[in-house]
This record gives sequence, structure tokens and C-alpha cells, in this order.
Amino acid sequence: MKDVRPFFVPRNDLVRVSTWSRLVEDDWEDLGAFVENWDYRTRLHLRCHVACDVAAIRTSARLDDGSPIGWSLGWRATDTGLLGDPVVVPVSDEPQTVVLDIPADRAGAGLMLTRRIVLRRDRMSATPGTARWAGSILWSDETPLRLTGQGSAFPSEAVDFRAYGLDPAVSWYLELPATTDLPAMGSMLLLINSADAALVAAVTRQRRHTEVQTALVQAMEEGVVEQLVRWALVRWDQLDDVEPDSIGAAARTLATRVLPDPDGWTDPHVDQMDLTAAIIAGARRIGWGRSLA
Amino acid sequence: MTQLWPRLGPAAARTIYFGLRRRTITELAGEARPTHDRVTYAATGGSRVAPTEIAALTDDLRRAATEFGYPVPAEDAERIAFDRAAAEILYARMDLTTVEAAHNGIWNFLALVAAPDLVLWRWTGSTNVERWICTDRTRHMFARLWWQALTFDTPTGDGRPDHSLLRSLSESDLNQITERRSIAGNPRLAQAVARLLATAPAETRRRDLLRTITPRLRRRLAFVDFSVLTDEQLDDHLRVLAQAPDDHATVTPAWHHPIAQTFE
Repeated sequence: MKDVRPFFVPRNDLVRVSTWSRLVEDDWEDLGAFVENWDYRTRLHLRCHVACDVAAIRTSARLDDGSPIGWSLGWRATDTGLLGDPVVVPVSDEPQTVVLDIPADRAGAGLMLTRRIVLRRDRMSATPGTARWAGSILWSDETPLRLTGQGSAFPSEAVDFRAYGLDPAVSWYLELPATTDLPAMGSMLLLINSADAALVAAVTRQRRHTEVQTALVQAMEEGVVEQLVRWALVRWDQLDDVEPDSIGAAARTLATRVLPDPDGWTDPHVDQMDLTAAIIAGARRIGWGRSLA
Repeated sequence: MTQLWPRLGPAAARTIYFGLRRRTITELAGEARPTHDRVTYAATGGSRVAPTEIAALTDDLRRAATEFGYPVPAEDAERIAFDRAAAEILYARMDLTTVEAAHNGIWNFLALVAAPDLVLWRWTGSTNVERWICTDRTRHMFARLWWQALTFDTPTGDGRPDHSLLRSLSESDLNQITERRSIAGNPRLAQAVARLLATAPAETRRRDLLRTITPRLRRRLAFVDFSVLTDEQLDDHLRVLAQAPDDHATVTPAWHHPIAQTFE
């Protein structure tokens, strides 16, 4: 979805930012997609370089009245939604180095690092189309960072289906909530029947799967994608305004990636086999499930 | 030192939950214990909390509950008053990082193993499994209280927690603020909303005020970074938001055509 703000914003080429780096021992290292071995005692010490053409930004955003604007570098936890206190510095024509500390006690399993150029004070005489409110975001970018776990772990657990109250003849069961705003990582759970030893072995093995294990995992992937997409389609009209990182947002994103035209599949009278075929084909196109190539 | 609390996974939690049904408060109090053989812990990052510390927490919670009628079924007002007291106890006694506190398993353990009697007493008459098994921290018996205390804690000059803002909020206020993660995720913004409610004219219905500003605030959050504002700027912004005509109102007219009746 295109980000449209109700005021003029500067052109992207007026802003230059480096990638993030992290202080490890005494060396600054490039920050990758995740922090290895992070735990509750790890305080993250990050930095990046930022630069912008202040006069051109003011002109581009129609903020020629000298209103204070500044850099805001901060973060939010993607699992709890908790925001960290940002570092705010005035913009300058000179390149700046900004350091951001993320305390371990307020972090999250995943973080979104944010860099923004913001208006610092309300503009009471703002003309239409120009930023008016303090905090108005004139430019921004975001960098995801995973702290716990590696890669995109799907919440799953091997359980005794009989004890759990599920049909012991099935191999897996995807628990999904009834509401859309719950955090994705807390509200869905893929239960794998511990009695299906072959499937448990296949999903717990990290590499060098046998052909049978690959087929088992791929079949489950296709089934899980289908359930998530169908869950989204049933609630499609509720998913326009869901919280970021919620199950609704995740399912909507998945459905949009899998089906070229999700709206066209929300009619409850749509042919169910056609829908299954479209989902499986879409899932395979984006790399999940079997590949016939 | 950060504490690592016992975690009870969703499958084990569900199994225990089914086993607890139809028990009395007294029976559950007798079965409550500070450990369980199905618990796990975070691999690293702190020290495992001792069973004696868990027992001390639940003792404190039961002592507070007794002041509000426990174990005898209590009125709503007493149970809500217990919530406020329990939030302060949980926040003081559980030294958690927010990553640990976001882990559903620790709350499952507290509700199903360490203090199931308190859950049953607090939620007498409720059949909502989310009070016991944590899938949404704004609904779970203990998770919501710890997070409420975190959100509305305004540390004093010497660093001690001050929960007076939390105490000033009604259950309805709390629900409306904390169930919106985009607002509650920024504690300073949530606190500003609480201050707005606390200072609203007496004739203002707080529920109506919240219903007015919440959608407006959520629209603003798309293009305003509230985390860079000072407390004074936040207060000013919310006051203006509460008084302004709805600048992005979406009017949904009622459709009175007779055909609408066929949909009912």
C-alpha cells in the first residue's frame, strides 16, 4: 500500500543514510538481519550516518518558515508493539553520526529500527498541504532486526493429539484466533502430531532432508498457506485497518502475495476447488510447497 | 539480575486447564504450587526464579485478595480494586524484561499452576479461557496486570515506580487504551490519554471521550511520530484532538430502504 501523507514531503533523493552498524567488542560491524546470541543481558549499541540537504527539504516540503525539523532515530518491538525512546537531533547540512542504544530490558524478540525526519513544533499558521503537527513524519525508513531465534520461525509445537483433544489420525493442526488484531507470533500455533514420527523428524531436521521428508514438509507448507489465506479471505473486509504485526496483517500480506486478486476470491460462493488450486499455485510461485520445475 | 520465570507451553497449558475445570476455589488453592514438571525456561539471559520467590509472590497476591473478599465471591468493584493492587505486586516482584513478559508461557504457569485459585476467584462466572491461557496479554489474568503497571508507571525522581495514574483509571478506560497496541505500545502516549481522562470536565463521559479521540489518534499515528513529543506537547495534541471537529470523518448513513429489513 502506498504511503500517502496529508502534507508535502521531501523527495527521497534529498536524504542519504548509511546501513546500520553495531558495536561488537570494540569494532563496528555491519548489522545483519539478526543479532546472534542476543539475550536479556545484551545491550545493543547501534549507529548510522545520516545526511540531508536541509534547504531543499524545506522547499520540497513547503516548510520555508524556519520551523524546526529533526532526525528521530528509534525502534519498536514487533512482538509487543512497545516503542523505545528515540534519539532526536536537529537536521544539519553536515553528515551526522547518530548512536542508538537499545536496552535489553525493553527490547522485543524482533525490532523495527526507524529513522525519520520530523517536524519538532506545531505550526499554527500552516497552509493547506503542509505539515502542521509536531511529530509529523516528513521522511522515514525502517530496518527489521531479529533478536531471538534465527530466521522466520513459525510458532509450532509437537504435541500428543489425543491428550490435546484433537483427532489423533491427523498429522497437523493450525490454531488461528477468531479476531484479527492479535499479535501474529502469539496467536497462531502449528500443532504437529507427535505420533507422526516421520513428520516430526522432517520438520526438526535442519538440512539434508531425504526426498520423503522434503515432500512431507512441502505438503504441510501448502496446507498451512491454504488455511491462512482462507482465514484471511473470510475476514477480508476487516483486514484494511489491522494493527501492524498482527495476525490479520500477516494473513493479509500472505493472501496478497499468494493470490493476485484476493478481493475476487472473497465471495463465499466461489468454487472451492478453484480457490484451493489458486492458493497452492500461488504458494508454489513464491517458493512454498512443491516445485515442479 | 533479570529473572527467568517458568514457562508452560500452550499444549501443556491446555491439558492442565481442562483438568482444572469444575474445581472450587478452595480446591485450587490446595493444589497451587510454585513448580511443575512441564515448565521450561529461556536458555540464557538471567537467573531462574526460585520456587520460594514464586511462593512469596502468590502469598502477597492472596493477601491482597483477602482484603477484597477472597476466597468468598466478591462484587465487581472489589475484584477490580484487587486488579490494581495485584498489578503493583506483580510489577514489583517480577523482575522481567519485556521480551520475557511477552512470553505467554510465564503467564500460563502463574495462572494454571502457581495461583489458579486467584484466577477462578477473580473471574468467577467467566468462561473465557484467555483469562487462564495467554494468547492476548491484554486479556490474561496476570499478563494484563503486569503490562498495565508497565504502561502507566511514572517513575518518581528517585526511580521508584508510581502507579497513581493506573489507580485513577476505570476498567473501561484500561480496556479501551490497552487493547489498542498502537497507543499502549507508546507508554508516554497512553499516559497522556490517561491524563486527559483524569482532567476531563466532570460532565464529560470518559467512555465517550475515549471513543472520540481513539479513532482520530489512530489516524494521526499513520503520519505523526508521537514518541518525539514532550509530555506537554502530547497533552496539548490530545486536548486539541478531543475538541476538534472530526477532520477525516467517514459518514456511514443509515439505510432505511425497506429492502434492508430482509437482511436482518
